[in-house]
Parts: sequence; structure tokens; C-alpha cells
Amino acid sequence: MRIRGQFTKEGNVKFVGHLDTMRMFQRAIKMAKIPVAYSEGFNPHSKIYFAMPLSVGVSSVGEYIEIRTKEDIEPEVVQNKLNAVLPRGVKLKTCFEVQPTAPTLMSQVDVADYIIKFEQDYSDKIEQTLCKEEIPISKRNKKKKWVDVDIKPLIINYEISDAQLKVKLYAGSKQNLNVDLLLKAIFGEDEIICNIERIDLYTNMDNKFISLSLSDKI
Amino acid sequence: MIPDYILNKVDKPARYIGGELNSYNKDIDKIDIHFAFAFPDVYEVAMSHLGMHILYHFLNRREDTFCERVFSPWVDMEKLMRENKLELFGLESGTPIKKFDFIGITLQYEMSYTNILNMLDLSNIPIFSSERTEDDPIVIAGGPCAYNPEPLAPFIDFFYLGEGEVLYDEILDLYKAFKRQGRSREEIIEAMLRFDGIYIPKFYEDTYNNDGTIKQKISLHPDARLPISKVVVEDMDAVFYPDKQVIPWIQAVHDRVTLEMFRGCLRGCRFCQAGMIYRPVREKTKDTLINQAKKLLDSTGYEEISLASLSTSDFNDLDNFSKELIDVCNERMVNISLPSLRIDKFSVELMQRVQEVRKSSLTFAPEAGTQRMRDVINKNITEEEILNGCELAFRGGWSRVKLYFMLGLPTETEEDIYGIANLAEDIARLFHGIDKSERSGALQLVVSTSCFVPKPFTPFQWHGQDTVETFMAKHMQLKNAIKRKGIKYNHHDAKTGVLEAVIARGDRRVADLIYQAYKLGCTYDSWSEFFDEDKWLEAAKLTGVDYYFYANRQRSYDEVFPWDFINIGVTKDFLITESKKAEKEATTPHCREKCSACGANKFKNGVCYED
Repeated sequence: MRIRGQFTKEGNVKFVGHLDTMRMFQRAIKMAKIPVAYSEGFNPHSKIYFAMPLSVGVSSVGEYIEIRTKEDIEPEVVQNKLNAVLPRGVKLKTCFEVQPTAPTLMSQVDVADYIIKFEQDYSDKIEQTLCKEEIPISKRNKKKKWVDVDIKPLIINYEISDAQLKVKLYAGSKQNLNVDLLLKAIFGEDEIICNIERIDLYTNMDNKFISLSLSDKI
Repeated sequence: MIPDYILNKVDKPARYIGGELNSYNKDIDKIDIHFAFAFPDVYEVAMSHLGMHILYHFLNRREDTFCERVFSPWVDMEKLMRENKLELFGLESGTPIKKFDFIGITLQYEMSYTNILNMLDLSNIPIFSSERTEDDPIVIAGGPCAYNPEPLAPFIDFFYLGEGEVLYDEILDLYKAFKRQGRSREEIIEAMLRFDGIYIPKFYEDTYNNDGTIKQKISLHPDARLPISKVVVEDMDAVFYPDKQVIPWIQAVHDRVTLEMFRGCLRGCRFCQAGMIYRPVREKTKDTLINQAKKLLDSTGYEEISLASLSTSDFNDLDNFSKELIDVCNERMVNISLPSLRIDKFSVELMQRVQEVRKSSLTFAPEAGTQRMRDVINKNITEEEILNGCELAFRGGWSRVKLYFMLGLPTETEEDIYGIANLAEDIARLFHGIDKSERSGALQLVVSTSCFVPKPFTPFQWHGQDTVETFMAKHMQLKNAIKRKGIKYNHHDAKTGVLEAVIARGDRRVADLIYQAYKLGCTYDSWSEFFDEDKWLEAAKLTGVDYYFYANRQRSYDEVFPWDFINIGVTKDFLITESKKAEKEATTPHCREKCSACGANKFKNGVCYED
């Protein structure tokens, strides 16, 4: 049975890296006695999957996990049992069963939205950059070479208000814009203090962005 | 709490946030005693320490007490804390350590001592005990290195000698009562004199002979006892053992369930301090262990359980216990890991039983290369047993073997050094002599040597350690003697080994050296990338502490040692007898074979009273 959950990662746990968060969930699922399925082989591991890594220091109210269980279990029971053991800041907001044929979580991620809160109002500076036709920036590609890219097409929309920027970006394995790179495009090497929060992840269904909390739900 | 903009700048910020699975969170306004358990090293090391897990849960089981953890911030974090004037804080609540009632520091290795001073300084607590005021927590130290407390005497308010479960409840009850009565910090510390097992350095003074050795230890208070006896748990089945472990955010050095099977060791290896200070052997029963294993596995979700004891294969009921444990672990898809084992048949069989599928590397510690040398150190194992053990392991599918030895043991000759190379060569030949169909893969043999550090309370406590130059010459000798390409040789740094010996057998004057080295910028001395020998040598020059006097000088049997005032059960007479037997290359049987009247039977329990 495939059970997905949407969870938060708020407060200090945002400083726990992706791999460490995965390990924490593996332990928590065992502690909560969820009948998780195991892979075959010499070194069996529990079948737990995540949608997309979250950078260290970024909080979120829209992370996703998928747990494959070896026996049927009510999604609500999984949610309650896990919430009873999960550490402060990590909480399952909802749990639901997905179609057995649903694509993997990771492959479904196409879009992510973020809210970035700044210590002061940078509205003008942000607008100046984001309104351009092209936003070129150099970044390292997978071969660690510096290449120039235009990130404008990766920004779906944005909204600036006071000291806050709300953005919807392409994300995932097909095309991806990292928030840090976006901030670098706006502020260059200047160190600015801000709080980044991921709001949700979406899949692209015929150019409609469907939240992963709704996609393939039974 | 550390602000985000700082956590965003440091490596592995999860080291500093607390809130792990199975950690505690209590309302600070509803507790009477706020206790900081300090491990003076970085998070990943500290979180691997079994004693921390035990005491953390032991103290937190009290409703009136909140025990938080505090570890040494990594160098990047320390720099930012100092730049931003942030004080060291407890991981659970973020409260500054200075506001706690106690800070209890565990002393696991000498090379962590400068980190202790640094942690006090980062907490804004005066480094010297004499300068602390009502505003400061009471600074306690315990753990194996507390058995020679003197090098830290000026920095610690009182030392706890022995096992934590014995006295902490009484100490905390007394503290609470005194605090309610409005008694001063000084009065509370003084009141600790009523406990045997507690050493309060300021109530004692050492006098010295002209040659620099200690003449006498004098008690300065009518209640300051001499000697002071360690305290030990009497009933290992009845004593508290946690049913959970805090699960570190980032992978710790040992990241698994740790099951303590017994305390103490039967063997009596003459170089080994743990083998003497933890006597007598006290085992848990099989049922207690199985019960604890189940609870710990269920409460942690770990995939691995480690059997932690000094010589695991000496457990009385090993056969039944291991069978039952394997069932428990198979049910839960859990691996069993064994710490370094004796190399005998018994141990290899145990290894085979617990690791049916995955063969990790085998670690054996023959400690010395020749039979003569092994007899001197009372490592009661023969060459034949070593080779048989290896053969069994090779035929059982293992091909990665690590062998641990020591260089610089008393009476060591060239032959003993070459003996290490010869033994490794014999093991390699043995492997290649087995038909390929009956062994697996290619042999990976690693020979590792450490520099022998004579420790207090061992039969070798009188021994003059090799100098750095001698150690380095021996490293070269052994390196050149190992000719086979398949055998890898590595050795520990001689300079750290000698400094460790200076501190391990140091007296109160060595405290000056530690303080001075710290002032010159030394911290994280156990990390080779930070160990700065020049600064330590400069500190030695400035303080007049002579390395030779402490490390390399051969002592006579009538010398008074800085730690002689502590009674660990094992008597000095027994240690002298053992030292003399070592010179004659005579061995001593282990506790179950024959009692050698070491003195540990004064604790009225354990192996001394088995049928």
C-alpha cells in the first residue's frame, strides 16, 4: 500500500539536512510501528521516499513523504502514530493513500513555491531584477563547470509585498531553479538576512499545477 | 538559542539545535535542578558515548531535574560565538550554561582537557574553581580519567569517583534541600564531603620531596577523607538502564543501540586501566539483557545493536544469550555488531553466529607480536590461538582483518617489534594457504600500532615511557619490516602519546601546563589537524613542567603517586606483585580461573562472589 503524507519542517529542524531527515523518518516509522515494507537483498532498507530535498536552513510547510507498507493501514492511523513520535517542528498535516500506479513522488515534482521574508524592504531591488526580460546568472553545471544561464523562464510568477517575496518556480528533475540562485541573481554576493520557507510542491498536469497533496489521491 | 544567521553560517548546524528523537524537553520553571551533562568534544563524538545516554536518562527520570546536553562547539561555531558574544548553552532549552545548577563533565581521554577549559570560558564561568561565585554552576567531573583527578584539580569543584547511578540521587536531594534552606554554594560543596566517592580538591594539599615527587597528601578539613573509595553499582539487574537513547540528528561515530552486558573485565591485562578501575566484573543476567535489547530497539528504530563491554566473549551465559538475541534481532531486521574481540575460538564462533550474511571487517587486538611480550602484558593468548582464530574467520568468509598492537611496552626488544611484522606475515600466509574455494576475496590486512601510555592504577604505572624519538624509530623499524604489499601499516602519533602520558600521570602542577597550553590557543588536541605540539612545548617551558619527569621517568615502588589517595579496590600491593611478575614474564589467570586477591572483593559483589 502506498501512503503519502504532507509534512512541515519548521523551527530549528530546518537545520537538519535532507539525508539526516530521511534517516530520522526511517527511525520514527520503526518507532511508531508502521508496517513499512523492506527491499530485498543483503542490506534491506525500508521503502520510504521523499519528493524533493530541502536546503539546510530552509523551512517548509509542504514537504512530502511516501511510505510503502507491507500490510494495509489507515492513512489516518499512520498520521497519528507518526505525529506521536516525530520531533518538534516536523508534523504530518495530512496522510492519504495513492493509486498503486501513481508515478514516484520525486518524478512528480515540477513546481515549488516559496515565501522569502527579508529583514528590510528590498521591494525595488527585487522588482528591478525580476521584471527584466532575461535574468542571466552563472552557475556550476553538473560537471562543475561555470555556465551562464537565464533563469527568467524558470520563474512562473512572483509577488512582492513589503519585505516579502512570494515566488513560484520550476523545480524537480526536468528544470529546476534553486532559491539560493534566485537570491544571488537579485542580490549578487551581498549577504542578506532572510527567512526562506517552502510552501508547497506541485505536479504539472496539462499546464495546471496540482498540489502533491491532491495528486493521485484515492 | 543561537540565531538563524549564525546557524546558517556553520558546518553541520544540526549539532547545535537539540530536539532529537527521544530527547527531553521540560518546563524550566517547574524543575528544581538544572543539570548540564558536558562531553568535551564535538557532537558526533559525544553522542556516541554510552555513559552520556545512561546518565541523561537517569537524571531526567527525576521530575525535579532537567538534564540537558552540552558539547564542545566545533571551531567554526566557537569563532562565531565569540565574535557575537554568545554564551555556551544547553542543547535542549538553549539556556546559557552559566544559569545551570550543575555542569557535570565526563573525562574520557586526557587530550580533551583543553576543551573543558574552553567550554567553561565560553560559558562565562571562571576557569579556576577558586574564582567562582554564587552565580556559577557547581562544576563536577567524573569518568575514567577522574581516577587521576589532579591535573584538573584547580578547575573542578568536585570529582565523582565511580559509577554515576550510585550517588547522584543523594547528591541532588542534598542540593535541593540545601538550596531550599538558602545555603551558599560553598556550603553545598562542603556538604559533599559526607559522600565517600566524592573528591573536593580544595580540601586537600600535596607536599613535595626535593626531587619533585610527592611526599604526602594532606587533608585540610576534618571531614575530608583519606583515602577516598570509588563507588560501584552492586546489582546490575536492579540498576537503572535507559529504555531509550537520544537519536543524533547527524550520524554519530557509533550510531546504534548500545547494550551494556557487564562492567569490569576478568582478564587483567597489565597495560589496561579499564581492566583495573572497573573491577569487579558484574554481569547482567540474560533475561535482563534481552528485555533491555527489545525495549531499546523498539524505542529507537535502530538497525544495529552493539554489545558493549570490555571483553564481550567472557560473558558467562554467552551461548544462550547470543542465541536469544539473534532471534530478537532477526525479527526486527537488526544487525548485531561486536566491539574488538579476543582472538580465540570462542569469539570467532560468536562472530560467525551474529553475522551470517554481511561480513564486516574483523578487529583483533593481540597487542604484542611475541609470546614473551604477550606474557609480560598478561594478554593470555597464544600464537596458536591467534592463528587458529584467523583461520576460522577466513574459512568463515572474512577477508578484512584489523590487528591492533602497542609499541613501547615494558621490556620490549627489537625482537618484539619484528614479532609484529612476523605475526602479520604468518596471518597473510595462512590466508593464502587456504584453498581459494574455501575463503573469500582478497586479504585486506591492516596492522595498527599505538604508542603505549602507562596509566595510573595499572601494573605498569611505574614504567618510564619511550621518548618521541624512540617511538619514531620503532615506527620506522616496523614499517621496514612489513614487506608484503597486501599488509597496510599505520601508527598513532608519538607526540600525542607522550603528552597523554604526561597528563595521565600528572599531579597538580600539570594543571598549569594544561591552562597555559589553553591560553596559547590549544583546543581539540585529540584531533590531529588541531594538535599543535609547539604550543604545548612552549607551555611546558613557561610553566616548568618537565615532560621527562612525568612521562619517561622510571618510578620506584615506594614513590607516592598523585592518585594513591583513591581506593579503587585493587590494591597497590597487587599492582606491585603484577609488575614484578611482568618482569619475570609470568602470567596471572583471569578472575574466573583463580582469584588473585586484587582487593576488588571489598565491594562484596560480582565475580568475586560467584560460586
